Amino acid sequence: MLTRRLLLAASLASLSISVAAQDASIRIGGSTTSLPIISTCAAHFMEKYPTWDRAAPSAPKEPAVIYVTGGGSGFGVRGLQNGTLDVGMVARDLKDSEVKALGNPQQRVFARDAVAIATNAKNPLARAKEGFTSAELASIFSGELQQFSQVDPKLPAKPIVLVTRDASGGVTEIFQERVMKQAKLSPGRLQMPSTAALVKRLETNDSAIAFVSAGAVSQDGDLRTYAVDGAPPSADNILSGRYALNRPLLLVTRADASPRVQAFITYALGECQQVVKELGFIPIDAKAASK
Amino acid sequence: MAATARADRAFRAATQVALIVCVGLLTIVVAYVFSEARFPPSPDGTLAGYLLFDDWHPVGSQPSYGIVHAWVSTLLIVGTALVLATPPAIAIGVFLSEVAPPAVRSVADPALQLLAGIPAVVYGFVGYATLVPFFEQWLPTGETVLTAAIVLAIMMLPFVAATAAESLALVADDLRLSGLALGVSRWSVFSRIALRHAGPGIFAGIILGLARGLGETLAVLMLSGNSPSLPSGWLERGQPLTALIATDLGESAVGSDRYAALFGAGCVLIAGVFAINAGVFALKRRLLRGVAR
Repeated sequence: MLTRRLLLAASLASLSISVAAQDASIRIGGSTTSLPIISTCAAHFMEKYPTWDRAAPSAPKEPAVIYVTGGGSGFGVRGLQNGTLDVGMVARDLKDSEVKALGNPQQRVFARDAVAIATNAKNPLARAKEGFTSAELASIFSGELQQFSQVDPKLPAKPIVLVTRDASGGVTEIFQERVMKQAKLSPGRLQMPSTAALVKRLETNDSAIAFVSAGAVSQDGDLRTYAVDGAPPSADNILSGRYALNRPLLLVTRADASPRVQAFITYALGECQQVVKELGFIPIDAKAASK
Repeated sequence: MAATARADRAFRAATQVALIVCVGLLTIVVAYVFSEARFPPSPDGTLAGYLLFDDWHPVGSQPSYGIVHAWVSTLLIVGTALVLATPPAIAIGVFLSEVAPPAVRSVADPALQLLAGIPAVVYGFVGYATLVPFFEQWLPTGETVLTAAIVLAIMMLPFVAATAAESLALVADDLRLSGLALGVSRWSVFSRIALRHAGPGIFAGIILGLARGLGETLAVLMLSGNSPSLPSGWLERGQPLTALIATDLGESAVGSDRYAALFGAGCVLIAGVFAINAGVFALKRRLLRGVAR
């Protein structure tokens, strides 16, 4: 009888310990574009602050544990809604319906990502063009203009090769919405399984043009990017919105976020900006980040 | 005595359970694929549109789900690969079993097995690094239906060659010896006796290669361009069924129209494999009838 009671007590105690351990962690998930930034930041954070109270005085003195997963922007919102996540990573503006469902969540822009129009430096377009209008891009990517000579009569009558990421990654979604509008992407496009493969393809094919996350091509000397509607994809133009093909990378939390979550958000908007920059995304001025 | 009988019964039961589990799992998988599919996948589309007419354009305000480009790509690539692979594969099989000295055979047999075991992504990558730039000298992109078919043919070759060699080697010696004893030439023994007896086995090898070709995903995804367009020739780009499913499934919400359309593509693939197997088995039976024992 006694042993049984002891066993029960022991198991209850271990249960409460495991609950506490789980409580001391925060769970972040969502956009795969934001994933490399936030997981690097989380690693740095855990290295710097072994326990939560060192990052935020009001937080408990427990080991700081942060779980970061992907799943896509949609999962970031859903996970926050059903309590699976403490912080949702969303790589677009929240929809009105989502804001309502989450009960006016806190939204913080921690970085911006632009969609760049890129080609190889040896591409015929690199000689003739500095930029495109949205309408030109739509007719190139829908396959209406199939040859370089149709874009500019000075150029050779060679077919343009269109390269895109597969399926409807975040980049494709934003390009479809802001540039293609009702038009469809040409079915003849090459669909590459990863952004790295796409960049490789651009480097090796002199006829190829692609839209791609600006972070992925900004440090590549063989490739060049183009202005869209008169604005080159510079950090200033992206932050001011003059370069329209860009999107915010958001961290979304519930309105009553815990001190632990707040501590990480502060870190993401502060020190983490270095990581944002290193990975080729556009950092945010911490003062302007609050929405 | 009784112990042996019990062991026998246990062994028999164990093998039967293994069989039931395997067949059961296979049935569940096929049933699951069919239960997740809808024909047509979206209420706005028609069955004919899904299978024959519509484009694959799953995003935007008016998505359309059509898989004609995918099954045409699959048929074109696998068909071309089979045509490219079968003659040299059978030639290799004949050489190994009829002509090659034992020393050559002892090297070539394991080499074929090794080739058959190389992962698809390696073939795909080698093709991507060599054939694509090669074709790019003349074509806008090196990724074409033909590029995919050439690499797929190389992948299918060891399967067909190894089974062809094995079936020819299995033709009973007394048949060959009787032929030779009757004074006919070695060529006649081969073409009239050995090849007829080995025919069904060689066919089985071709089916094995065909099955590998139909199910192959990564190599053809890398080399066909993965473009959702209907290929009108060998130098055009395409996207086989397997590549379509692999590319789009990660982005489809469970239960959505797009999800159902991709499972539908899986059903078409399964149906295709069944149809080809049934056809070839019928053919094989007819061949066997010719070989009266």
